[in-house]
Amino acid sequence: MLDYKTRYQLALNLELLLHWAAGTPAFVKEWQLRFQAAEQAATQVEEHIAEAASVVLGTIEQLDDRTAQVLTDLYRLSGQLPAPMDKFLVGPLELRVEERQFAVGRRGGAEQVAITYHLNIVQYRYEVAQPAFDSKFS
Amino acid sequence: MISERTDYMRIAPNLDVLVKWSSQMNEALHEHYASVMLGQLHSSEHLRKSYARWCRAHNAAFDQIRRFYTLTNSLPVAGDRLYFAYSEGGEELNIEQRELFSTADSASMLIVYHVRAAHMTDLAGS
Repeated sequence: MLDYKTRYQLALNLELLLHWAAGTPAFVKEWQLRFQAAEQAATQVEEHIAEAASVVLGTIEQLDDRTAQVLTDLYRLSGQLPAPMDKFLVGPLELRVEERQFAVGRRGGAEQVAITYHLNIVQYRYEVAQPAFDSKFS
Repeated sequence: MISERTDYMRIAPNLDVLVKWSSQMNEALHEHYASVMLGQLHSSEHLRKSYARWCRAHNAAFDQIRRFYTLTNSLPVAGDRLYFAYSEGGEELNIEQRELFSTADSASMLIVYHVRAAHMTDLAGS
């Protein structure tokens, strides 16, 4: 589902590469299983899970492109590069930059810089229990 | 009463920055300054002043990020510390998280900084 060799040219001599964390296939597998299980069950509750799972899986289909969009937008709009620990949302998924690597090479006579981003899907955003804001006042 | 400034700061065309207290910091502030935040009369003068200092530190964070961007043409990242040298209480903030929000048409971007006291014990002691 995810392409592990996505490359984007940010500028003439600057390239961006996406690399997904080792746990990503397990995340995808989990949601595929949840989707299948929910589809087979006929209860109302399971219907919601099937719906959520189909959104998650649909987002994963576009994850390479949409992630690259967020990362390149920052560069295009401000000249900044995303840094380790940065978080961002793609659909209902929360992603985090775990690591970035710089590599300098040559193509023809020109120097080329390639930045590899190691990314991780942290969580499905709507599954985290949010503590009630005013619980301590009640 | 000094309130937390929540407006967006535009630092470049199509690039906005927002500074928020981290959830843990927000919780701690509510715990220590509930009476001040709710405007209760029995809150002590000391407590009010101490809360006002945190509000100023929060506002100063906006200015520091703007200045940082102007001077270095780069932006602070998660893990960076913001120290406001002129504050009386020496409040030091830590950038716990930076979130990037991009629009579907790539027209603009919002960067949200989640900041907290660098030493949460400062908060407990004030």
